[in-house]
Amino acid sequence: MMSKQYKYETLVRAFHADVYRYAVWLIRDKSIAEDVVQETFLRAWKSLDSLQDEHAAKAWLITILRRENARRFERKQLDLVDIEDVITIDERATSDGNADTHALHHAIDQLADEYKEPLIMQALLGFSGEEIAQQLQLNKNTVMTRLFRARSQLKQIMTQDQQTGGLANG
Amino acid sequence: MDELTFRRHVLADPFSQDPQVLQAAHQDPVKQQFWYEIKQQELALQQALHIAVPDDLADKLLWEQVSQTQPDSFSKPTTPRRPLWYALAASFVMAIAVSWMSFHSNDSTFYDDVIAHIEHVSEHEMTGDVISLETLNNKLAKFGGVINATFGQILSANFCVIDGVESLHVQIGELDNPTSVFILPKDVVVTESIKSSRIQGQILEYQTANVLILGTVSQSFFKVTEQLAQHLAFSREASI
Repeated sequence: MMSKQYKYETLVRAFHADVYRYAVWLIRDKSIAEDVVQETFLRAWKSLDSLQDEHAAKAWLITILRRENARRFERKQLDLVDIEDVITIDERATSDGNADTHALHHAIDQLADEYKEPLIMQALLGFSGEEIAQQLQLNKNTVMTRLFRARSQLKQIMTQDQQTGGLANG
Repeated sequence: MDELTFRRHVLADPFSQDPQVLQAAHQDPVKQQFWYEIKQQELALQQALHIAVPDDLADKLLWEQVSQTQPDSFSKPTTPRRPLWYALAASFVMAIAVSWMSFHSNDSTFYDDVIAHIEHVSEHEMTGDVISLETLNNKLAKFGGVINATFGQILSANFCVIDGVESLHVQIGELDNPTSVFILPKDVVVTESIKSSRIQGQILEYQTANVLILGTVSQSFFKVTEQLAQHLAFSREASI
């Protein structure tokens, strides 16, 4: 039988990248995101015995991460900053970052959180409508509506940006 | 399926396999084109969301877990590192073997096998590729171990069975003069041995493992030993 330590290390290796990426999108600051990921995995270690279904491990970690992030806000309620001051699009740039990627980052940032969150859960983490509904404590229909609106808005923003860019260049 | 329902469906799930959606797209080129555009947008979105992850993040997470959740078992070596033996002969490998056999007959089978492994197998363990820290940590994990920093070139890291003992043999340093590191279960007792001027051997003792380091007396050997003592740790649990 797999020891707790070995199980934990398997968990870290398998999911740290997705958990980190989600944290950066949720928190919008790489340094804070890394701290929260660290707290998430430490808490996961402490309650590893409660993880019965290994197929649900990623969703379990994301649940812990969201709780840890909420705790961060409870601790630092008064320490408010302007989100725009915290992160710039370039900070999240991929190694092969290009104009389209930057435009998409910009478009994602313009989405309201209620649309952005389910969209990132689906596109980044591969969660199903049911899994997102469980994470966000919504019903599945609401989630599907939000996903539909998120992508509609994203398409609209991208089209507008292209037109604006085209006019500016033309 | 009407246009609005179709659009709602594919915007909510761009890679839907719903038969009704597939049929609607198949029957209507306009719907098909719209779906194609959404799929393209989705692929670009997925790519944009894949921000770079720090290379050492997994190792940091493992290190934090070992050091913070198990401080009493977060073991730096429990006894001071100590010189074991210094062999005399031109062939250092054989010199060690003979010396051990002479002075520690009880351990001779195990030591014979260690020497035989270094002499006959170690060269074949090196593939020419440098082993990443992540790969090494994946293997150390079996012993509950983790290294939190890179030092020297890791030339090989392979599990091997020595005299019935499952161990991890890591070769570090220079290709023509590597230092051998054997990660051994705690119940394998390695004892002090004799001395010579050319060969160095040291043991790092942890709560859950013993680490046997063998190499010629050189800067590389001292560096590897020092770095291991600083950066290698073991948790209480091992899967062996």
